[in-house]
Amino acid sequence: MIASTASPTRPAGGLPWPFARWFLPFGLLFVAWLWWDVALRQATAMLAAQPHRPAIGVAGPAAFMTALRFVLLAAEAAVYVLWWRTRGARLPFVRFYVMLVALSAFDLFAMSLGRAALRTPALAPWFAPLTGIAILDPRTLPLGAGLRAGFGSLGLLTLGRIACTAWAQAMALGRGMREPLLVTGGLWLATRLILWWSLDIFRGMSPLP
Amino acid sequence: MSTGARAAPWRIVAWLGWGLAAGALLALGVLWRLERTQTWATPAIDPGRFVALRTAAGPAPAAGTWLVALNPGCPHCMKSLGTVIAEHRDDPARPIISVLLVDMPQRLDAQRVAALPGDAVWWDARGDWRRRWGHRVYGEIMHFDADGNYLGTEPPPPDPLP
Repeated sequence: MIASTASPTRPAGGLPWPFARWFLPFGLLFVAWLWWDVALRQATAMLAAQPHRPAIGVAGPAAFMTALRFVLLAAEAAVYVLWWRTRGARLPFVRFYVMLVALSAFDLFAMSLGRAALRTPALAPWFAPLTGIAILDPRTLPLGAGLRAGFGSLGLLTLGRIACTAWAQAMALGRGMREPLLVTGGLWLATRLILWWSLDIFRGMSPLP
Repeated sequence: MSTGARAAPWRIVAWLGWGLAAGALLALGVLWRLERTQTWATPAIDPGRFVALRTAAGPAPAAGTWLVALNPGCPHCMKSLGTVIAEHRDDPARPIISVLLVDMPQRLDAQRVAALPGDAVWWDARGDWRRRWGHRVYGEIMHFDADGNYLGTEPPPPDPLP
């Protein structure tokens, strides 16, 4: 166990809060509001695709999707905590979870670039190094739908998210970056493979948009 | 932090859990590989294998035939069919737009068949679409030329952007 060098901003375990303590609730609320905005757009699109518009409004599904996002981030944090417990080290769950919530800003930024590229397709090639090739027109780069869904988001923003997640573990555990990077990269790779293979199995020989 | 003999059983269970997760990932990969390397039959409108519930009048036009895979329980693919028909309503050279009812163990009653849009309705009673062709997405549009040769499959029309 790491000896505590606690201070108000560098607490025990070595992982700082992502925001100043007084700003923490506001910072988290801001991230939640950004996810709410994404969920609203997605719920609006989903309901518009229904031939018979259901009686429920957009807010209910959007709230559910926002809550689900935070549950998934908690699950992600739990996986890392469990991994390090198995390796005999303690990763503080709450602090790491809050850090993951803050780091989800990388995903939000990538999504906003994706929306901008949909509105202005000429921007897509410029954004692709940041967001990955999923932003490009599938006709310009004909990959399978599964492969595109799995690895199309691999860009500098994703690499930044992986590096920062690994850094947060290294800080919390007082370790070097090598093992946290391997763990984070490995988990990312596993989730992408699951997405790729599952989507291909789901669609069979049918093409997807 | 607990160490030694008390921690050992927990660790063993945890490692078993990680091993199980890795095994499940490997199994998914094997399943994916088997699926991708399987030889599937080429889609064909074969009156000997499908049940004609409604047929199109006259020979196939030069534009050929479009076959929309449809399951009446799927509102999204009903919408896909509606979009395809609406886009070609006023086109004099439009293809025959046929419906292929898939994943339906029971024959659709005549009243519901009559209510379906499209020029012709086929029932895939043997499940060829899924089991022989390996297709799985409702609402997709399969294209055939005037001689009935398969040209390719188009995904369902995308949903509107928010």
